[in-house]
Amino acid sequence: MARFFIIHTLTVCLFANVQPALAQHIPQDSLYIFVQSDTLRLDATIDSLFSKRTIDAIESGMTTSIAVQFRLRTGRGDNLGQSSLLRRLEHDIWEGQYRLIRQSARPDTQITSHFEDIRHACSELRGIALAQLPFPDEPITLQMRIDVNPISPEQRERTRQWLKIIEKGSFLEFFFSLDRSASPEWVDLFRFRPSALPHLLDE
Amino acid sequence: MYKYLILLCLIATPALGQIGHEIEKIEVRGNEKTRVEIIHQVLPIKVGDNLREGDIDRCRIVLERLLLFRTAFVNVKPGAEKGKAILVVYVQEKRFGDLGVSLEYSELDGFGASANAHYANLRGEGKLVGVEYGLGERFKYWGFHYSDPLFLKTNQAFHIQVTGSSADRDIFRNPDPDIRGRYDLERIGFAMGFGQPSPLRAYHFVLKYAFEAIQIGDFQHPPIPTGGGIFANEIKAAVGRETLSTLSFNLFKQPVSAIWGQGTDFNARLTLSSKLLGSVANYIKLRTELYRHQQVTAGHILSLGVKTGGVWGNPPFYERFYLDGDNQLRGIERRVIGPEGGTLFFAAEALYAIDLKTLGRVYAFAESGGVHRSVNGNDRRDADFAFGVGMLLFNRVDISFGISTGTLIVKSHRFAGVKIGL
Repeated sequence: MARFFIIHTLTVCLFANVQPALAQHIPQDSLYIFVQSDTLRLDATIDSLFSKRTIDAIESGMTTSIAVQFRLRTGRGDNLGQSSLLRRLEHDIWEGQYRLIRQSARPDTQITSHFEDIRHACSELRGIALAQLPFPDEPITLQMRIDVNPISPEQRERTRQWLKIIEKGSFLEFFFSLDRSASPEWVDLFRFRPSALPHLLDE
Repeated sequence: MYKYLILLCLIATPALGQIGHEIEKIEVRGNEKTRVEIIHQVLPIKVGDNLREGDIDRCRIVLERLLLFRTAFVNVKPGAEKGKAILVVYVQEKRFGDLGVSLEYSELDGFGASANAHYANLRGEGKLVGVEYGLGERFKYWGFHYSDPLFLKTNQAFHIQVTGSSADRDIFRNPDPDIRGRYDLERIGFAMGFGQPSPLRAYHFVLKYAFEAIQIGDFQHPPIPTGGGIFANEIKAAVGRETLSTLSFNLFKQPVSAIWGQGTDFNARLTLSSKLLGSVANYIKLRTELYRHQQVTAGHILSLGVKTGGVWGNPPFYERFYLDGDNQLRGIERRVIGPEGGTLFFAAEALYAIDLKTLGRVYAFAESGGVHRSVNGNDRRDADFAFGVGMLLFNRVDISFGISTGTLIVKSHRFAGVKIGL
């Protein structure tokens, strides 16, 4: 059974590769977009997901949030679909144990004593559902944003307070503190025409 | 999306220290410019010590109070041998420091805006340099400060400040500004201090020397003589420039009132001014403040506090105690009691506060304040009492209403602010 057309087929249809140079990025040769059962899916490998600073924080035992998001946009700015991978990484440095907890409809937890297992689990993305077809046959841009954020207990407490405030719509929003919790910007990853996408044949 | 991700993270709990283990090594991570020995020096636990309950929190607190880091996290992991542990410290440094802008109000100075900036971690040694500026209706100031939290590699802090201020002051309280009389009080000077500000101990002691050039100007005599005109004449006689040179000793306990937790606040400052130091007058001034905050039930705090002060010798009029500014009462307008100031003063209050979570707190209070001054052998005493209710909105704006006096007071002060940690 054929797996799917490789990405080189797709590159023929590309208008441009617009991915900027980022510390965390997906190399072109690891990016595969395909259609399977009327669903647009993605395989990718994220390079340098964890910076040295983040690894220092994780190795100190700080809980870390890992968010990887994709979305599809038309040239007019319409949103065609969005996919989010949300994880929490805990490291019990006394026990030498990592716990990677994935937030989804059915949360699951991976427990390991090797950071490489965590790096692999977070960086290797396989069959990520981006959106349901059909799409208009016009250029579509795949965008990505990644936020890997160590969160100390104090930050969590502050965030907890903020979430309460925001949920209640309090005037306290008037007093704010700018910190690194700002979400990262979306970056363009890839442009394509839907008609040029390879199709994965069902088994 | 991020909101839910953060919520997901809220469930996590940090690893707890293993009490009793001997620290065999301190591992510092995340520091790029801060020298490791600075972090080692400030930590209350050293290699060879046994880990005690609360040590992890104490380590984190001392690191946070250095103002050098956006994040400080402390943890332990097993050492190479049984019974030993490695203390792991992670810090995320501020690249620059802090920038702050705020809008403020006080009964004494009216509305104003202030801005400050400080650069953290000069030469990677934890030193701070900063500037501040404030402009208000009745008060403006500027300042430059430098501080070294670990002076000469000791756990003593050293700081230098150069400051200037100009205040527009009434001589008496009156709704009609033409009747009040007024003067300007300008101060330019420097101060340097040496002491123990780190939270390693409950009480801290700071020794400070200050030299100020003080100018009284723009004097306008009140058209109606009050109190025999003694106070107005005293100010008129002081018009001009004079110097104040003081040595002060400050003993204090870290305040708990800012978080409205249970605990005790204490602050005592003894100031000596001598002509031998180049001062215009000889006097000794003592101001003390003691508050006890007691949790009655969850979210209910009873606070009992007293402030007292005395100044002996021949202090200039602006060094006397006035019931305004830091001594502002909740239910009585500023300087209604003892408008000419006193050489002795007291203020006492009882406050019962209920926590309203993010909205702030509501409280009921009873208070009393008074001043005493001897003029030409005659004692002038003035004191009053008030009770009422109040609200601390968002922990920023303290508004109180004296039921017995019918007076609304905005005791403090910070309406809006932006603080950016860079």
